[in-house]
Amino acid sequence: MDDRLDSRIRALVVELVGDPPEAPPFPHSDVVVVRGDRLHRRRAMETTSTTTRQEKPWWKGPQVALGALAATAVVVIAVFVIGTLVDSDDPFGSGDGLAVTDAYFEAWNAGDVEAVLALFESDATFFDNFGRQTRADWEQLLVWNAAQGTVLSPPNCTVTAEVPGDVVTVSCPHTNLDALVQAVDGPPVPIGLTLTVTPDGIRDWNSLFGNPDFDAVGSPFESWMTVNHPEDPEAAGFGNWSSVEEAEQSGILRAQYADEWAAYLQDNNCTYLDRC
Amino acid sequence: MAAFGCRMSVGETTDEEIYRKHVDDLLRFAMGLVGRSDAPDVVSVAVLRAMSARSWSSVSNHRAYLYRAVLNQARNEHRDRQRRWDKELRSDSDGSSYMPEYRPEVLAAVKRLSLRQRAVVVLNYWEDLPADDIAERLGISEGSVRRHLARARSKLRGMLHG
Repeated sequence: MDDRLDSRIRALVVELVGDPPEAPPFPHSDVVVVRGDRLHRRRAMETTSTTTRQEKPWWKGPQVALGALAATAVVVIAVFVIGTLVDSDDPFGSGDGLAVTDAYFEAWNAGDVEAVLALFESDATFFDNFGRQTRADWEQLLVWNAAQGTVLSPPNCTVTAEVPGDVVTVSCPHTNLDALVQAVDGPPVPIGLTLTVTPDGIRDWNSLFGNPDFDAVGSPFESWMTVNHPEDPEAAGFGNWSSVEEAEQSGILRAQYADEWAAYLQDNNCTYLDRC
Repeated sequence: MAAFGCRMSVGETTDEEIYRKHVDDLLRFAMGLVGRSDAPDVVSVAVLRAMSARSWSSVSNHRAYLYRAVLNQARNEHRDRQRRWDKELRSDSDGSSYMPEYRPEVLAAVKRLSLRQRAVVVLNYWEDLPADDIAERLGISEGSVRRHLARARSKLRGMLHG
């Protein structure tokens, strides 16, 4: 019985991945900036199909070529200006507050928990709607979000304060799309994030989220869970953890139940607002 | 335009060499997550983000890191993909398939699986990886892998009449 199921699943997987398209070319860099002892780079995002790229290389488009020349000029000027303003002996100039926040969001959206944690000072503080959290609690929250595939929208970060000694405060309003929001196309939750960044990393993390927005999707989900998974009503919820492992399992469960909930709503031709 | 990526060496291996070494496997993995038409873009964006990340230079297991990046990028595409696959299923019933290489039964079966379940199924059934290797590649525990696999098999059992 299991062998038969295995062979059918294997056949399905072969049908799914057995005939791959042409591999996309290696994404080439369009900017390389060497500053101090670190390397910053940007790569040209080539997300069109391989066929399209082959039919029209970038250099064949006059507008693109002119744009590239202009961009190159801007980059050269920017490199020069940055090079004159930033002390190359200081590996962590004040302008790096934004670089750290960029890295924070990149690592967050890559689900790279270790990379996120590595950005913080060892004695960093964490505040959110529930008050001050310990680093351990915050790590569980991070793992829970990573496990369920939560993504953050691109932030609009600005330096709001700069203190002598290379301490900067950066404000990054953005939105949060957790597994529920993604599964049922619910409203992204607005987050007001403020980070204090020092040469040693992120010192203070302050995040205020719109609680009613979380409830907009969370409340009908909990109602559905109570009816459809009464054996497991708490497992996928927020904050019911005593370890990182529990947080990870909870996040995984939440993503699974979110998918199941979305399929249920679709099968019953209703939305999360209907509480059907 | 010069391939600047070649300059970005990580130890003795350039990013481009790492990319060429893994791109075929990443592409098949992405196909299992998002389908054939979206897979190249998912791989491109995932590799772009991974290799531009601050932590890339300190990554020791590039293959695992790139697999996770592809999985996460597939998640980012989740909502758009769902809509497209819904359209494909509907259009199949109209006789004008958006992706004719996939039978509606295959699409319907895969659509019932979460992204993690798809990832585990592809790695287990295509690459024949055991649970500990899948766990390492996806950055989750062995127990999670077994749980995902069990749930996926349970769902597919009903769909495939096993």
